[in-house]
Amino acid sequence: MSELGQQLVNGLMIGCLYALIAVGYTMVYGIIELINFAFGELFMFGAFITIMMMSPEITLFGNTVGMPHLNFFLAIIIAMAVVAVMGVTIERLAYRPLRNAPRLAALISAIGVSILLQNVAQSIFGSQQVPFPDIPLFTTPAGAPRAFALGGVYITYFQVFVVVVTVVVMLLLNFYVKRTRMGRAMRASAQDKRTSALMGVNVNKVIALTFLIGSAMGALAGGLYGGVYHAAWPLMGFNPGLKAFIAAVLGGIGNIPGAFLGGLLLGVIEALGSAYLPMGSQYRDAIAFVILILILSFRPSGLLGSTVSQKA
Amino acid sequence: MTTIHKKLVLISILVLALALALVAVVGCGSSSSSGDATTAASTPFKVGVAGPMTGDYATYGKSHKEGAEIAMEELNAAGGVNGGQVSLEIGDDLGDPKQAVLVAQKYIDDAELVVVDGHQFSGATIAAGAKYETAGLPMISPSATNPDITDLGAYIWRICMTDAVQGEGLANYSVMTLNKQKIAIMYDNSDYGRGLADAYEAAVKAAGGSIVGKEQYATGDTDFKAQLTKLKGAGPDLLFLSGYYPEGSKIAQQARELGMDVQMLGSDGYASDELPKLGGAAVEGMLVSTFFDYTKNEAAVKKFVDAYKAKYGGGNPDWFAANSYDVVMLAAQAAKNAGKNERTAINDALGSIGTYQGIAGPVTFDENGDVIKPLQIVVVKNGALATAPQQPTQ
Repeated sequence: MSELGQQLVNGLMIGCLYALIAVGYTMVYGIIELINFAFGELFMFGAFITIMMMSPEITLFGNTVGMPHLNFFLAIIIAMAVVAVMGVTIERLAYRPLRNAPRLAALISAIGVSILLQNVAQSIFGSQQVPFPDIPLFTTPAGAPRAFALGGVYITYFQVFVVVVTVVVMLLLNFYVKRTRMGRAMRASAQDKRTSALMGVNVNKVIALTFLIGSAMGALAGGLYGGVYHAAWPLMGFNPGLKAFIAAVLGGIGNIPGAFLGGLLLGVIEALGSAYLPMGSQYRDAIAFVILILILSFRPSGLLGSTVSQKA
Repeated sequence: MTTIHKKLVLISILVLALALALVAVVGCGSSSSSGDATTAASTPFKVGVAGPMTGDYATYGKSHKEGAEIAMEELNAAGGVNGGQVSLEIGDDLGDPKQAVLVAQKYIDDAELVVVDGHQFSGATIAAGAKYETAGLPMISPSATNPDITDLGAYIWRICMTDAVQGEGLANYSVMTLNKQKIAIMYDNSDYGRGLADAYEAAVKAAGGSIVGKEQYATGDTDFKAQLTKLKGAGPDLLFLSGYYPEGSKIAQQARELGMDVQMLGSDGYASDELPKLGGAAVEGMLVSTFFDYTKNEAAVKKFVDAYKAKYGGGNPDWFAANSYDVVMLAAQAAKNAGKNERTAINDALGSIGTYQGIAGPVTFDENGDVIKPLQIVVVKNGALATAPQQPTQ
């Protein structure tokens, strides 16, 4: 029984990280119908910048450079800010010029940005994995993780922190989109960009803001992921990026609570699947894609997506 | 959501798949580094250095290339091989069998290239080795350990021990030297990881130990908690890890986060200074099988370690670098014995080389082209690899 409990905790943990990246996908898709594949790479930059800010020094382009040696919380906030600016810049340079081009053009541009960022990261940080510094609040001075056991289920303090952060962020975002003026402008733009513009909504600003928030969420997920897996590496964003995309589709793309639910579900299904299916660990990634195919076949609008047509 | 949305998502996936295929093809770049101008009169000694130079496993390719470069410089400083300038042709196989075949074809078509130092990963080596055998180009792998490799034919050699030999040695070490009875295995589901794990499992059983759990993962995975949670339930007193250190450091960290306190024994893929760097406190005390002890008090070892540190700054060479150095030096020795820089002549000379004293231990080939070498164990101590107090009985 405690084994099942442990597997559930394992899955929820990954699920939270998927959910955070999925929010970026889902918000951007909701408005401009673009799958921004570069979120996986922004996630990776989030992890690297967090490590940079936390370290006394780091190797960049093969040279050792002094770094601010900040605490984890400050570091991850800086990473979110930097990556948010990166996200907006990418939107401005790579997507906005293609706004009225066929959708595939923007999609290909997104893949291009994604590959570009991977290679940039590889030349900046090198191809090796970079260790994530220990976080004193979550690690004993001897370097062991601070954890507690609950009926045989081991939970680390950092896992609790990740879950709390995810839930709080999701609630805040949901509130922002549902209850604020800017949120209303976002929802309006998602329904109809032209009419919103006619009503005085600055659609470009709304889209930039969406990228800003989505990228910051990606960076937050990256920083947390780095902390959970104790490392960052240039190709780390690819797989979680894909999974988050699946999570977004699973929950109903364009829907924030859906992204949260989709992320958690995907994490748990993956963990249980790889633990209890025969040879399951071998098919961990396949499980996610099977879910994607099932969802697209039977409920393309996702679990929480509206079945009403948004647009002609 | 409309069908347009559904189509878009499907198209997105298709485009992504295409893009991935493209990346794989573009990733097949290569570069060559060579020594000074070739003396016109004599035949050059050109070595193909093949391994994953970019991508997830670029770190192995880097060591591999660096070891070969040190050998090249040393040989050229001494006047080359049979009067011919030594040069390297770097081939990037990404550790992927499909790319390895492309690299192999390029080497085969290069008339000046007389021997291949590579490939590094077993899967890539098997795919490329079949081509070298057909073309009659001798290949010496510094690190591919799958037992099947040297069965490919007479032109295929290696200077690392096979997974079968290492697996048996580590099994005897676990059961007899460490006196562990309940052993769990966690392995990378690659040709290498699986081959070694299977050999280990069989030998543990033969030695009277029991395997209480066996779990696998894919290279590049980051989350191992599902498997570790199951293994924890089995209550092993030793966890044997067959794979590479980037995953290994995470396995050790996640085991601790699950409250699993067990002695770990890593395969040779763990033997890198990166292991303690990435794994931190979690890998402290882990035992690791290695093929090269850089602390060894031997003139040739010191010369190599010093040259390596001077050229690449700071870090100690790992066994991938040492074996790559040994391969180039060994091939040069074979060419010198043969008296000419020619593929078949070098291959024949490799067969009659006797025992070659490499920096990573003596190299003796058996009739199959496999090497007979002693097994060494190191331990992670205070954030560095050190010779383990308990060594296997030979």
